[in-house]
Amino acid sequence: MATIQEVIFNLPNLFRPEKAKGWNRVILFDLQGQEPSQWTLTIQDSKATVEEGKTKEPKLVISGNSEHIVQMFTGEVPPMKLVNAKLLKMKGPMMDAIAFSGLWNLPKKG
Amino acid sequence: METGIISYGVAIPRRRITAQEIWDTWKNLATSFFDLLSISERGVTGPEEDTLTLGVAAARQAIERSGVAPERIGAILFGSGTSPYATKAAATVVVDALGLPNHTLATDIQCADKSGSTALWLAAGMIEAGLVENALVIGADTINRHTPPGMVLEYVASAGAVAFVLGKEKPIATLEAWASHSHDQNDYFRVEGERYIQPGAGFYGWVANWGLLDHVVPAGKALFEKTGLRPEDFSKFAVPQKTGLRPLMTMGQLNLEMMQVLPYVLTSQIGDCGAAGVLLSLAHILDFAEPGERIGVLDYGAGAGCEAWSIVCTDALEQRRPQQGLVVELLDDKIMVDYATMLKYEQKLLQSPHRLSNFY
Repeated sequence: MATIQEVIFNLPNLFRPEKAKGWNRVILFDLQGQEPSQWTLTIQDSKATVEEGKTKEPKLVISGNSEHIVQMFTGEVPPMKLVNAKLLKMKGPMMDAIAFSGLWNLPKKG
Repeated sequence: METGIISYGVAIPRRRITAQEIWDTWKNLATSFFDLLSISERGVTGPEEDTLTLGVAAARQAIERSGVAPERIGAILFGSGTSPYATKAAATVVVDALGLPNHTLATDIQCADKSGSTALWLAAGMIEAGLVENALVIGADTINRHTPPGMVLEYVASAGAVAFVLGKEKPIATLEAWASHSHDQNDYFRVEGERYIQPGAGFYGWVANWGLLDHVVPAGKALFEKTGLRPEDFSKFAVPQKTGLRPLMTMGQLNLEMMQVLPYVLTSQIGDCGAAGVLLSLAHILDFAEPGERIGVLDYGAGAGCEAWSIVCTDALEQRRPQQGLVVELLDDKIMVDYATMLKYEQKLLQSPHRLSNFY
């Protein structure tokens, strides 16, 4: 299984810039579980950048266990399944939370 | 249709207030609704701003961006449900404020939140009929001024204006098709002599949105039937966004994809801009659109009906794309105010007749 750092730093490669035109947001991953950590994802001018720690005030906070974030971005478990099972929580405008899920080319497993 | 949008302009209040700041005073809504309804910040008009000043600012920008000489504008249609005047036209003030020719046909269109869209299609009809060469259309509202303190709509009640210069000469987007649906339904209304908007139902849940789907769905379906287009033929949609629930309801009933709609919903950043709400979302889409993109607009006005329309972006968009004053820039340029300041600016406090003097 990939580490949370590998997965987070791979996000710019999964990002669909054409879906984020004009959608500028700061998103914080506030994670517990196997690899407790915080990561700040900035989407600005159709570019996604990642920094370790909470470096900016977020508009959307995604919290849960690190292994579930890994499962989501490696395509092992669909995002909505994790959210519906309350394994991941999103704090912020629901519009942003739903739109966020559509910004990624998630790998399809099996 | 040859007629299209030659340019557009936008004005929103720079001052904002957070939903939390309002809640700290009233505590009249479970704060869990903020995320559910995508409520976060909304505009606060300053003491020098009203529906007209916002409309003039948006119109000035649209005219500057158009390159169209003012004397070639044959009609100005000012769409608003919150004109500062009950009887006289606001459009005539715009004529003088912008130095437009006095032979311009100037009139107001009052049709709730869809006033701007209705004005736009009336103006397009005049251009297509050859009555005028170009038209200036404005959708503007100050819903905030017309929402009483303590009413839950206060969390989203905002203000803004969007203006379009229409014509046939090198439009950035051509108007493609239009469909409408209207019947009487008193979901939100303001009666003669009253300052504040009344909700026909509640703020949250089905009853709060009871007029929406009754109009948006038949109008949207009529547009699809009229054009033979399907939802997937559109790249993006600007949809009603009084709260974040409305885009979801619209999306679900018309089978729109979430990424056609949700990235262009601005509720959490600016609130409900009334007649400028859907048009602000359209301006935001146009700021980043590409030639050839087909964009759908579903503009609903409470108790007024729904205009469903489509545009197709042209190659001229590439050359005349706004380089500054983008909607995202305006949204980020803000001054936060507290609740008391908001009440003062929105003229909701009893004021001393001596407030402007230093006599005490």
